[in-house]
Amino acid sequence: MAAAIEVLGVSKKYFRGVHLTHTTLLSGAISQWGKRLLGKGDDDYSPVDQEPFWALQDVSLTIERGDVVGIVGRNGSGKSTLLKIISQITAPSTGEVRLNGRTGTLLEVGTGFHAELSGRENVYLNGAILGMTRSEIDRKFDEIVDFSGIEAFIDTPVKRYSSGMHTRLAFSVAAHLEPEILIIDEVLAVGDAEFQKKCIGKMDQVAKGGRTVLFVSHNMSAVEQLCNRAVWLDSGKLVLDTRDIYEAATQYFQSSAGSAESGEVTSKSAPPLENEFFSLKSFRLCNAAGETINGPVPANLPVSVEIRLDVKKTHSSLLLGYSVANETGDQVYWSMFSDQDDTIASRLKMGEAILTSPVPPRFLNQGRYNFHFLSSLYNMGWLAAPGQTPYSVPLRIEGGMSDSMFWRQHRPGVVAPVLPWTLDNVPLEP
Amino acid sequence: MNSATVKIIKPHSERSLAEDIANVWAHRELVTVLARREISVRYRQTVVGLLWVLLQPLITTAIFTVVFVVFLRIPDQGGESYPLFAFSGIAVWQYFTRIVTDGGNSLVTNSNLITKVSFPRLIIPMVSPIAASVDCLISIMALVVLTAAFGAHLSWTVIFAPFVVFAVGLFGYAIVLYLAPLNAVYRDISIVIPFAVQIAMYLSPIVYPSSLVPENIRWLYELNPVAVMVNSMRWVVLGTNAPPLAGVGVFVVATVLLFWGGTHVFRNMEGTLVDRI
Repeated sequence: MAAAIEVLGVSKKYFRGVHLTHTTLLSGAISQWGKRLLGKGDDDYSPVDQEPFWALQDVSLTIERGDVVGIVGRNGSGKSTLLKIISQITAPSTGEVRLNGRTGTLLEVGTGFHAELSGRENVYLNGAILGMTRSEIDRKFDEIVDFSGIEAFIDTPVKRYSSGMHTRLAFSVAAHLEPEILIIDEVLAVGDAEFQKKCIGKMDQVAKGGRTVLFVSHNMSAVEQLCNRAVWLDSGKLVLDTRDIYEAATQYFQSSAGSAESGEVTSKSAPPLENEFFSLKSFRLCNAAGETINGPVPANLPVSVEIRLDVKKTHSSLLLGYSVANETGDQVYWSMFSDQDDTIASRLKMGEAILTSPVPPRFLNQGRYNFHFLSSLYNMGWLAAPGQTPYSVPLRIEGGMSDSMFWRQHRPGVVAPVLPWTLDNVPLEP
Repeated sequence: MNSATVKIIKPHSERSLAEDIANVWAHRELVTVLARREISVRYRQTVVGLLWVLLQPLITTAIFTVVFVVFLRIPDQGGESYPLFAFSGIAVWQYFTRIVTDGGNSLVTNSNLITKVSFPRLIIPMVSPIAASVDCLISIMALVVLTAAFGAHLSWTVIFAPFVVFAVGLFGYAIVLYLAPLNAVYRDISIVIPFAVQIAMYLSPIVYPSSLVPENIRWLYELNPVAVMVNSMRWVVLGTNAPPLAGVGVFVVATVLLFWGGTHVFRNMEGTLVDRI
């Protein structure tokens, strides 16, 4: 069975800058026109900008029927350009694309909506623009209006709609397209949370229907939820093409985090953190032997957080500790040195102090985390807010999740504790 | 497009005209949808509404009659009522002007569609001739009524009036095939168009009959395709001002040539204008 989409060596170049300045004058343009009339004018730009910008460089990939592909990458990596080429909106500079099946593209919600026309008229207009035939729209009209939730306003001119209503109607039309290949560009970023959930649900339905879906997004959790394949573009090049969504998400996070690899931040490597109570000397993660952890560790390796500081003045409400955040920015947990003993602050002596605390083994799930030093005066204010100081270190947990042969792959969940079970009230032994 | 066909997207220079025409035909429903949008939006929210279609040529005719007959006293052309003469010319002229002006800007006006949705761009300049032709046909019907009201001779050939409208539409579309993509990239063309239109109006028998042109250059004057267009309409409705056959010949040849060249230019620019609009 032929693949749904074949991208073969596609490149796209643009010329940056105001390359047309002197050719918008008739005199300069006439000679160019002459060339154009003879059919040679296509790439004949004026030589103001000699270096073209390659938005895509020799990208090749084959998408099978039924794939739900998430295309990720930073802004400017070429994702939208690739979609535009596949959607036949702009032509490739080199290479070609083979499409096997009817395509429906959604690059922006509400394309073609006209403010003066009513919602009803716009459903027909937008549907036709997206490629639906009139009879198709007639058939699905009620469904479309129902999904959008704006039945009461369907005959009011669209210029009276709130932006939310506008989006709901527009997305609803697009959601009822039934192309064999559906191409969507970051349109899920609009609308409220409830509507976004509805949209993802609808896309999931489309994907489960065996259709091929190409989906660009920055929302990694949507990609993880919907896609069975991820393609990563960076600066116009295809960097990764994998069916392991988790792998793609991790790499994506890694490239955008740009954090230090070292498991240690000291007052020598970073701007000093000082206040009237203490001066922070170092913040690091170390193993059982006291060595700084610099690379990935298995989950069962004992890891400790170590804070070294110079105490200048004590205060009974002084709090010291750390926070842990995961790749998607969620706070996994916070831990303060006063959590088990609230008198500890008053027992701090002047001079050097070393605080350590073990990170529970076999608790955090596989992935990358950022540990942030934090300190405050209870109820009075931050001395060092988590993530707002340079005293943060990354930790990567890989493997060692459990000894069970049934737990070898990444398991969903923010945490991944290995917990005891009993069978008929008898605890299970490892 | 059905699922059995494999569509190949290549760099623009490699596509054939036949493919493009087939593509346009496949999207024909979109043409009617866009034309309908154009028509229904045009007079919405106006008090006068569709009446405005008639008011424009009528008011213009009235003004011209006052200026040219009363003030300037142009010589009478023997039996022909000036208002009917002027109205018939104006109806066609306003139609042609609208095609060229709206059509010339059509790619720019629809830039949001072009950059977001895939369909043959050749369709876009078709919308203004179609939408404007509705106005023109309504004006012609009014002309027929006026002719009867004035008691003037109404030629049986009036049934050919829609063909004249169609020919004008084709000619206008062919011109727009050049103007629209060029304007999308070099915006100063949209400044030139209204100016050129003004000049063309004075060089054509819109407000004055071609019989006023000195005999030694009249043959050249009557080869002007606009003169042919306008006089053809007068001839089919009123039976006067028949354009010379040579003129009709020039018109046909010009349309064909412009069409051929225009599709060439349009298709060559199509590929990159999306990136430069």
